[in-house]
Amino acid sequence: MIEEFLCRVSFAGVPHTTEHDPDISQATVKNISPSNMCTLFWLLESIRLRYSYAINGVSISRDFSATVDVEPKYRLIAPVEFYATSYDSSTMTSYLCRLDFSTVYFDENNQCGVKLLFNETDITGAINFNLQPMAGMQSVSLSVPFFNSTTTVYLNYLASVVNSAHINYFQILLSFAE
Amino acid sequence: MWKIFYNEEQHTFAELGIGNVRRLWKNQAIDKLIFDVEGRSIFDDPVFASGSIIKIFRGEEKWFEGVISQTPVYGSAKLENHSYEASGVWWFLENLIYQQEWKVPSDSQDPDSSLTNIYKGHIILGQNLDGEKITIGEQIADIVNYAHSCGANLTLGTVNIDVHIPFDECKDLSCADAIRRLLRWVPDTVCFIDYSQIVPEIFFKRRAQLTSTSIDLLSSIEQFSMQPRHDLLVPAVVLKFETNNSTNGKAWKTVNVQKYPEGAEEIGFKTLVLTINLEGAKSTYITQKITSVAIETSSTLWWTQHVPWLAKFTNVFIANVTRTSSLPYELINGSVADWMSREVEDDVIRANVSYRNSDIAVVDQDIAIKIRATDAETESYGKLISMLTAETVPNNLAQSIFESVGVLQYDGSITLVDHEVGTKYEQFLLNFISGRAEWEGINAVVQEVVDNLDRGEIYIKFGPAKHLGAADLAELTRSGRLLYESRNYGERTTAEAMGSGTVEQGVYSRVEDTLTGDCKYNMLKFVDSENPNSMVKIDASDLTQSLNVLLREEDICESGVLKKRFSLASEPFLEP
Repeated sequence: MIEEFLCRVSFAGVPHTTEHDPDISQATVKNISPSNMCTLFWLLESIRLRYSYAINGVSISRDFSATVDVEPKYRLIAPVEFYATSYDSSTMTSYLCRLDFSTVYFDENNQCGVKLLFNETDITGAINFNLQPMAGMQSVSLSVPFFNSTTTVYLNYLASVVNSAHINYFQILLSFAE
Repeated sequence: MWKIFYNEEQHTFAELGIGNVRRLWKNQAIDKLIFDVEGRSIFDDPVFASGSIIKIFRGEEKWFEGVISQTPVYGSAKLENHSYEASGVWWFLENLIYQQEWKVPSDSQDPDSSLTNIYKGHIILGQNLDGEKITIGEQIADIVNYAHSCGANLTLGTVNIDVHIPFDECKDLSCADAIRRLLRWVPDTVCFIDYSQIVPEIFFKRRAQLTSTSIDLLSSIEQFSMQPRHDLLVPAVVLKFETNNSTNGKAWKTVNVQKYPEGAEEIGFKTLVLTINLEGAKSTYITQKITSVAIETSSTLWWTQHVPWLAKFTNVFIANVTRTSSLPYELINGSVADWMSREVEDDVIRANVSYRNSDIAVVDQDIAIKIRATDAETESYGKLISMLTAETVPNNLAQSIFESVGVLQYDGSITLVDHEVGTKYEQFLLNFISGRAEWEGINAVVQEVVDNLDRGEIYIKFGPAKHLGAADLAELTRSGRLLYESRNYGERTTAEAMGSGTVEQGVYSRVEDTLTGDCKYNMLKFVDSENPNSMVKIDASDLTQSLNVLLREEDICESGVLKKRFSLASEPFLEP
């Protein structure tokens, strides 16, 4: 049970101190309504990512969460960043999830967006599983629901790599405070 | 030679068997002729029908005229006859209710309709239709003329009684009763009828107006009696007129004393004192006190008096005053009625008022008050609603009464026998010669005469009119005791109840209404009634910039839910 609070917010439902950027193209998750943006900012407790993919005959599965330890009513004054990272020594792969609320993006229709970072990279940087198609690389993609919005995840790979890369599944599970 | 005229035929008494003829005359009463018709069976039809007219002639002169009023028959072992009683023309006066004309509205539903005359048995003796006092003589003339107009076979001969009396209001009197009521004031009056004219004439003469005749006591006299009535002689007549006045219901009495001889003592044995009530002046006034004050629209105090809440503020400024009336005063108390001849108008006064105190400051607030403007100044206004002037005191009434009762009268009777019947002694004052010297000038008023034509006898009763109730002091005072003030003498001529009138109420009384319009608040302070220290104060003077502070919509997050609300906020401005 969250402690009730009331605070003035911007049109995007986030504190006025949050940077508001009208360049929605920089957001990785778009088309979030202001009221959903408000809920997302103030009540989001954790982001759980579950996915698996296969590349070069190797199947990899991940399941981890990014959290922020800031009670909702304190998010007015504290930085809100959901962040989680780790390293898989067996595949020499590191992976990261980061949802940054320091900037919200909006378009001319006041539809909002945030920058959700996700990537997984091997030591060579040859494989990159993230939310952005990489230049010079081929990729497979999968649309993923994200809180009434949709985002696309990409598995980027070099052409020289055996072309057996594919995404088995990808889940973004959001948990909200009640 | 006596003759009787009946049924358009003239007969001698002998031809009709008429005998035992007697004429009975009494002052102010029906004179009668009584006679018998001999040789008639009691079963025979009457010779003279009841209600028929007979006329008795003495030679060529009509001596009596009357209507057959009674027809008794008499029978005994020795005698049967018919008797007849004929009543003289006074009969008409006894059998006719005297009615007077009164003014009444022609439309019974509309008291303001034109007046018309109607006859009423409600009468006021001593007053004519114009409401003016008239003399006894004039009143009697009116009565006799009224009777004549109703078909009575008599006309007025001479009535010369120039005496005014108090209004005497009564109801349903016969003409005779009305006359007798009038003549109580002049008890020495003799009423007799002259039948010698085609239409009998009735005369009313006071003692002083009668001629005297002398009877020789050495002539044929059957009986004679004489008594000087010193007991009836009064030394003075004192009339006390009590007048009941009233104004607006407040009554008071005034007393006017009239006495004769002048200088006589009001208190004394045998002094005839009559208390006579007269209706006094009656008036009804309506008064209305008006209080008004000058309309001073430039005065802050004046505005404060009309808009009491302004008193809470200091620095009250009035500007842009307009009025819908130009009358100078405001009606404060009382009602202005049309009869005051003052103007009243609704006055709507508008102005812009600015005011402030520690809690609020307002600029140019429209304010309007509605008042009654008038040109009536503060004073008590009055109007006479109804007015009835007092009945005037009859002049010389005491003297007139004294002339009747202030001289020694002789009371008595005499029977003359072997006398040629024909002279009507009621027309004379009697003196007696060949007796005591003082009897030669007693001028006794005849009160009763019985003429017996057959026997040549004349019975005369003279002196005060005992049968009229004026034979002693106590009876004389009856004329006053039975008289009450006339309460309706004004109504007879105006058809309005005495003292009545329409009270015109004022229609314009104070009105005050205040309207306040738009205003510009400089400052508003809201204070918690339970906690005076808690307040909300909005003071435009706190704004350091020239900008608007308005309710503005803003976004809020309520426990994670995006909502909107309105907040009082200024326009954004740059910090200087």
